[in-house]
Amino acid sequence: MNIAAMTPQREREVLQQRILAFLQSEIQDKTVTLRMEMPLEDVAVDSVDIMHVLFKVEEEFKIQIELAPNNRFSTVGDIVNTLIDLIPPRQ
Amino acid sequence: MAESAITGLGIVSSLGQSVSDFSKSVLRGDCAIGDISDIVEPTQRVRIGAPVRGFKPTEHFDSHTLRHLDRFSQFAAVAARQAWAQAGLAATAIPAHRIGVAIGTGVAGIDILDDGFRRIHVRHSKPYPFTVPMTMGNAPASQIAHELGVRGPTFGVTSACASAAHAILLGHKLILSGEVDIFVVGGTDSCFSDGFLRAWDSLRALSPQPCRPFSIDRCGLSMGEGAGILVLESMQLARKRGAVLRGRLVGGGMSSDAGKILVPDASGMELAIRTALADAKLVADDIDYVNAHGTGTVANDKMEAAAINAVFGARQIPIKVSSTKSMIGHCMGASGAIEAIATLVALEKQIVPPTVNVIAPAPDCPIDITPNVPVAQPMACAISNSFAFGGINATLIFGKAE
Repeated sequence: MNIAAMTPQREREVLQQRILAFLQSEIQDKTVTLRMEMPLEDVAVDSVDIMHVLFKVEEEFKIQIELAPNNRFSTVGDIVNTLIDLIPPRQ
Repeated sequence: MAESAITGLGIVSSLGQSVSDFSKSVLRGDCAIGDISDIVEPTQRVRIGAPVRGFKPTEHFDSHTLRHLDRFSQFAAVAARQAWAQAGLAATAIPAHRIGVAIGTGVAGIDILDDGFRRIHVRHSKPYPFTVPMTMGNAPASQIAHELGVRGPTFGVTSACASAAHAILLGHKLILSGEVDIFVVGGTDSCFSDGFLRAWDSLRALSPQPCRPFSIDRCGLSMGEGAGILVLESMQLARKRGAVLRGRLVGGGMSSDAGKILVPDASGMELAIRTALADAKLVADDIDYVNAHGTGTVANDKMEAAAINAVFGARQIPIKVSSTKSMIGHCMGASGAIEAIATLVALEKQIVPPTVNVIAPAPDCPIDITPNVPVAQPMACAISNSFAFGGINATLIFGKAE
């Protein structure tokens, strides 16, 4: 996909879907479909899952993320939005 | 006699991923050592070995679990499930804290570590975030304890090629001490990562042809891999619950050469065998078969033959000896457990497995190495030797199930 040609709003939506998909692939309960507003404790996302997502984001976007796994997140959207903010905008 | 019951066996090997398949192959002398050009890099000099083929992690683990299990832990967990199922312990009410797990590894999680170094130095990236817990030597033991829900003493054991034998013997001693009733013991290693093979190649210990233990023209070992797991149980408990025995662990001995790190010493090996006999309250004539360490290196085989002759040389009929490594290569920290299983199936079927690939018995190894063809003979007890780099030795004595 050509992110460079997108509007900032559209780019954010695309990144959101991408990171949500990363997180979705890490959770153990495959019957759950993650949504942004879901509390993490309801969908059993733990710090290990978050570490894996951080790694995937770093690999995909060739960036280094300075974020301790103990960073407090309460919803799925908190993780996704925090990571989106850490990805530098495309030139 | 202070002995433990063996009530379950499990294996992942280059000669089968079940004990029945492994048993059939080992007792007829199949050789799994062959061309590995399809799994190694083009610049890799090592072109033969006995990898475990056809092992599909996703058939055994969900993707969530596979995130933190390196191949050596996967082997061990799969073998442990087989052994546990055979022991029939799932339906019993033995307290979880009375069951322990001790798993040997000589190499530990080298696959993920090798991958991590490539990421760092070739791709200028960073290692996989779970490299540390995947690499650690206790990872297989922890995974097995987790899967089985057992809560007794759980640990990894490392002593290179004697790791599994030490794990088995430690489990046995802890059962005899009364601290636990059951120990899941054995060993595991995954040995075909590029870096690990290159390290062995650099040591110049690998044979360019399939290894030929105790043979003329032997020139080194062949790489193997896999896992072997035994369920050891107090004899009292096994009898009480009417468990079917796969054999008995009747004693064992451990020793150190206190010598050089890579040079084997017959006196250290002999000490391990004699200590094992004393532990089992047996004499040399009570032993019917020796499952040798038998690596195929010039030095090991010569020293081991000398140690065997020092203990068993006065017998009228020479004791039968063979090397399972001639069929499956050297499975490193798993070898003591896989070869313990070879010894147990030999006792069970009353067949001495052969040493294969033998051109002719070597003059510097004047023992009966059961060359190339299995031999049926009555056997009550057999020993399995594990003699490791670092001058560390262990001998286990097994008895057939009564």
